[in-house]
Amino acid sequence: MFLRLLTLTLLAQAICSFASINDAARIYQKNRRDYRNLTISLVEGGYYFSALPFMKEYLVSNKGRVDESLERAFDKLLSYTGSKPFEVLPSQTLNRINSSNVKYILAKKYFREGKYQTAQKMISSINASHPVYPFALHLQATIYSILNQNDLANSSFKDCVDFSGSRLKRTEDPFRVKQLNINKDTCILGVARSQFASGNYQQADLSYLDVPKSSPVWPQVLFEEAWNSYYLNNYNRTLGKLVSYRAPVLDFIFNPEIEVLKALSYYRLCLYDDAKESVDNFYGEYLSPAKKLRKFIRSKGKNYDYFYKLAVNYEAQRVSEDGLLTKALQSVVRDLAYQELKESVVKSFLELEKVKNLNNSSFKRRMEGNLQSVINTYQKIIGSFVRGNLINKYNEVFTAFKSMSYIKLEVLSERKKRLYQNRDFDSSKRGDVKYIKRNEKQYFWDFNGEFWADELGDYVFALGSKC
Amino acid sequence: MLKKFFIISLILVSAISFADRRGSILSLIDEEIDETTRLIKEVGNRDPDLLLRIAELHLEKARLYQEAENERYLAIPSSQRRKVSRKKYFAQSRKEFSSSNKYAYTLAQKYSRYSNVGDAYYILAYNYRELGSYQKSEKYFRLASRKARKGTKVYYKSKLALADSYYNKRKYSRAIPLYEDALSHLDETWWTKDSFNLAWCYYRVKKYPLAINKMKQVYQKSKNEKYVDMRDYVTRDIGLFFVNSGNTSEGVSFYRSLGIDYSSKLITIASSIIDEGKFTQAEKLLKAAYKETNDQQLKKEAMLLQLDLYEKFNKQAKHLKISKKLVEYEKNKLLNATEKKTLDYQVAKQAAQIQKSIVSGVYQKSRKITVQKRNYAIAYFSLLLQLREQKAETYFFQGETSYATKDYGDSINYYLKAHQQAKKENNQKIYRQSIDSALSALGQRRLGRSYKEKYYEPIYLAYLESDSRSKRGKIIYQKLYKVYLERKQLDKAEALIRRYKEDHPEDIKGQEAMLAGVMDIYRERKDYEKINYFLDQINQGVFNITPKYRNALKTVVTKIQIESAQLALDKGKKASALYSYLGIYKHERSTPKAKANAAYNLSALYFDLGDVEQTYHWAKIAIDEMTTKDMKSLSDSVLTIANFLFLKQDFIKAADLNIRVVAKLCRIGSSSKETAFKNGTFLFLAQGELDKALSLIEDAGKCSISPVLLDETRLELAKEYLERKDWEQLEREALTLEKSVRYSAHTIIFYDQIIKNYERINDREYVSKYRSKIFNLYQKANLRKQEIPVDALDAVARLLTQGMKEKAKELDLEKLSFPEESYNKLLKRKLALLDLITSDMNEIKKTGSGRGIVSAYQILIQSYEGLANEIKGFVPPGKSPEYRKSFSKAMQSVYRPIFQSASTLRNEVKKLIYDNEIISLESYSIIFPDVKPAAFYQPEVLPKMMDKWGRR
Repeated sequence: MFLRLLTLTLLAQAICSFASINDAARIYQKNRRDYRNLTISLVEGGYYFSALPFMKEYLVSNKGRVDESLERAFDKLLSYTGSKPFEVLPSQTLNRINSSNVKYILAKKYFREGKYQTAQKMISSINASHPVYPFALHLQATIYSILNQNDLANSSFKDCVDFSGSRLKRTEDPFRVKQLNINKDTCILGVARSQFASGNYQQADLSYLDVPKSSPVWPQVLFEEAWNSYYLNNYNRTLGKLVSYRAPVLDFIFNPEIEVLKALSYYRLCLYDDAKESVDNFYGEYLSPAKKLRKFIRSKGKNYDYFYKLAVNYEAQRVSEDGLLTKALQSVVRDLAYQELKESVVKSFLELEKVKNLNNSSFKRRMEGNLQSVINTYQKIIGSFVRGNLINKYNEVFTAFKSMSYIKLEVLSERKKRLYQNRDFDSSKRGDVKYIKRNEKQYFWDFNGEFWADELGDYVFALGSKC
Repeated sequence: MLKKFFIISLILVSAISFADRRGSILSLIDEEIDETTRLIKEVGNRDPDLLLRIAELHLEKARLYQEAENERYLAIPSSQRRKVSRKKYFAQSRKEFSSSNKYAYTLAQKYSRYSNVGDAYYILAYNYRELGSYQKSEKYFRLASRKARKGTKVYYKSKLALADSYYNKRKYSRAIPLYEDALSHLDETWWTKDSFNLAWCYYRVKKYPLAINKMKQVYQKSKNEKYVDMRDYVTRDIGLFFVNSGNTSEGVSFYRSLGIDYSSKLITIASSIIDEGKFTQAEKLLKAAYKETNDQQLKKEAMLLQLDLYEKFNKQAKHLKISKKLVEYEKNKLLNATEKKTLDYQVAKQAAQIQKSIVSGVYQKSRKITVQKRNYAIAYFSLLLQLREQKAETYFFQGETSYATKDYGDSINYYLKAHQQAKKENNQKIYRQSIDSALSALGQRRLGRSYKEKYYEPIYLAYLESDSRSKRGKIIYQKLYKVYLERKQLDKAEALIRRYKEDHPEDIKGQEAMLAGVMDIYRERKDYEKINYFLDQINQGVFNITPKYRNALKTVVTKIQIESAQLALDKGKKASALYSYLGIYKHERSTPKAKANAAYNLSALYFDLGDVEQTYHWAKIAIDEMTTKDMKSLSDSVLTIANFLFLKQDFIKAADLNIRVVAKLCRIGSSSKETAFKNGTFLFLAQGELDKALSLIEDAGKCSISPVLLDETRLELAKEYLERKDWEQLEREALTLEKSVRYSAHTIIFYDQIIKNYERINDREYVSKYRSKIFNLYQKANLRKQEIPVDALDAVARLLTQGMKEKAKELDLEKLSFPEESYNKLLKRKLALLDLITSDMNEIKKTGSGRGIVSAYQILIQSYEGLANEIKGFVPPGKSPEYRKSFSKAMQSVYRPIFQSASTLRNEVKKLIYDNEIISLESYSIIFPDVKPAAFYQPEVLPKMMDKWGRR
């Protein structure tokens, strides 16, 4: 379904872009260094990835204020290409440009470099009416969160939600709509996260529910909700949230911490056997594959092309040699960032196909060169992204092993403590509805053995604590 | 979050016995170790957290093993336990401790900057504490508190452990900040217990308000089940804090608010801390308890505990004070049987201990302390007297105590009380011991005279009451008798003698002595009636006495009479004295001794009056009638009387008294005897009573008169014989005297006179005999180096010069004559004679007799000069002038040296005469050879020399 929507959008854009490509060719013939007009023409013609090198050239070769037309084109360009290709430009170069988009790019660059104050300064100079502003607010809130300024973060996330909503009303560009929606949902999630970080678990519990299940960010909300419930000592709900990941629709998510949290919840309920079983199962299931995965990743080194192809092949075949690798790849390819990058690659290829249909000219060759360069860059970025994510997944498994061991040690310790205290283990009934805690946004249904999409995330266990 | 470790839970789990679950726990720990080991491998041995964890697990395992090992070890019978190897029994735990230490130590070394390195030190500290290495433990706790991250439990727990360590070492000031810091950050089960320690620390450094507040906090928190309930401890100890802070009333309020009786609580606290050696606090508590309550029972409890306290800490003054109070309670019937028993025990124990210490001489160096201790002991015994029915023994102990401190007067008082009481209580042991001890005390030198006077009679009587017939009883009788006698309590003495006679009829001498004493007193009092009464009693056989004593008694009577005469004499009433003595002498009851005594005194009285006849008369009687012993003692006086008679020119009477004295003292040694002998002999000699003198001398030989004195008197006698020219007696006496050691040389003089006498009658045989004796005596005296009288030496020289004279005469008689050959022969012969004369001269010189030597020189000089003149004046007959001239010249060489020698001899003798002042006719003729001796006056009747007794 997503693929179909994408194709329709691209067709619409192609009709609009035809006139502009000729304009661009003329401009190119006239002045190959007229990057401003080349960019504006190509963006208007829907050749975003072809325009990207010209925009970069412009930024490098110019300084001062970016005019409104170029700024608008730049904004549109960014919505398709993302800011990543521009972040590689030197800060010194970017700083000469007076543009909200450039400021956003610089803010992200500084953010990645850990220069949060500079990034914040840059964000604060972005015009609130500029289209990039909701994204800038997201970045700002994130920085506040990182700086543990949860109230400010909360406030920024809420602004982000509001501005994103407001922008959504004023835009019809599906890409922009999609981005704004994701931005908005992420900021809703951010609100909940800031509340969680502030220890307002009850508030966070409600805020998490504000993220619609249809949102692409929702699957990870489940996990965070599970932690929030955990901190609310509502371990049955934690387990319920986590059990949703077993639903086929969410089986692409591979997060070892889910298992850790599950074991931890059992531990908190003093269901030591369950906790221990979870730990042992996890070890049994992942210890050997994890070692294999580590060996595999190490064997491939920084061969980004390989990892790019690995992901592409996996997407094509949906299988891999190893179960853990499959799970990891499954999770990676469903990542929004991956999809965004991959979409850029796809678009670049589509653009290249269009360019190939042009008459032979120096302009055509320049356009092909530009696109090929962009594609190569994206492929490397994707390869790097895949490798990085696989390493992350391995690290998550590794960390989960440690956590699991610690849980097991906690369990053993508790059991030992009980032996010291000569306390008998409770053998009463394990589950009962009386153990279920709810808030005003939650309802009660019996689980009938099937996962229903509208029920996902609302499951709750009814286990009695054996503490 | 998951890295949170369990060290705290380890600390909290107390070592309870769970043998049945230990196996399960150990297997869980093994699982934990496996899991941790797995984790370590996972993280590549780079996680110090895991090292810490594994160290901790090994430690936990070690403790469990140790517990099991302990159980097994203690299950072995103690006799076998000594033989088994403790190491072997504790091998498992040691191995685990070692592993634990290894990991913790590795961690501390390898990860010194590790944020939880404090935990490793904590484990090491904990481990060492378990092993009993408290110094190391403290060291690591200190490191733990320094290295542990601030705010972590280990940080505070190690501070707590360190504080505990200081607390146990009584370093309260150092413990306080550690406790304060740790407890302000930790809020766990043991908060109450640790705060309780902190409160004690405050208390120890006298921060009482803080201590009390902390205790109150502990009490409040203890209500919460989360904490260890320390309320019992708080209520136990806070009272002490209140008391010592001076807030007793606040303490009362506190306890009231808890519904606890304050005094009761204070007593409980005090009771519990007494054994901890906290005297001052316990005392304060008990005093406060006593003061704060009106409950008599509590008051008693407080006091009884005080007794216990004071006894433990040896506070005798205080102990005594409380004991007295409790005895008052007992008097008022306020003590129950147990309390009374306790009090009795305390009092008796104190009394006994003090007494023991006194007796053992612990305090003997300080009289002050000794007296103090004695007073305590006596006071305690006095209390015992009030507590006990049986008192004899207690009185006795009081006596013993006083005796030990040498307060003998007091001791006797107690002994006598003990004795009386023992009689009542029929306590034979004390009955005997008390009187024996009293006697012992009585015999002490230190006991004052007044005490002795006071106690003699009661003690002796008490003794005789129980033991009058024994040997010791006999002695006591005598002592008591002596007391009566000294006090002149004669009726009591008489009664005692009668009683003594009943108990000891066989002891006649004792009875005699007693009677004598009593009668002496009566004699002093001149109570003749009583004396006669006793004599009559004796005569009637009421008292058994010996005949000797019977006589002695008579003497007593005589003495009384003499004393009366003496008294008169003392008062200057000589006539009365004379009358009295005469009466005594003539009295029919007077003994010979009394008579002799009276005679002597009569003599003395007459001597005093200067009556020679009467003095001599009574002296003679006295000497005759008095015993040799009396004579010896009075001999000087008798000799004085004899001297008096001598001075009165009545030599015969004087000599007679001396002779009588000698005769009386003949058999015994006495210097007076020799004086009397000498006086008597010389008086007879003076009186010309040579026969009497001789008789006395001859008799004296039997009376052990010294030979020297005898020889001396014989010498004098011989001189008298010589004086009288009684040659026969002289010869006899000289022959006796010749044997005298000292005076044999003197005999030469007598023999010289005897020789002269024999020479006069020309009895050459006797002359020759006595000459020989003289030379023998002379030689003996020289050999013995005895002093030879000058007269004797002159006599010897005289005899020697007689030989010289004969040779000189021979030299002179045979004249030189010719022919020449005859001349030469004669001259040679003369010269040989001159040599012999010269030789004789040398012999005479040896005698040292001045006169003899001068006389010998004169003979020699005359011989030399005579021969020289003869040679010089010889003219050869019928010879030519030339021959005569030649002859004369030749003879000059012969006679001149002879003249010269004669001259030399003359000079020699002159010098000798001058030097030795030798006055004699021979000296004159030598000094003045050419002058005839001047005529000197020689009366027709030679004057008589005054003889030695002043008679002409």
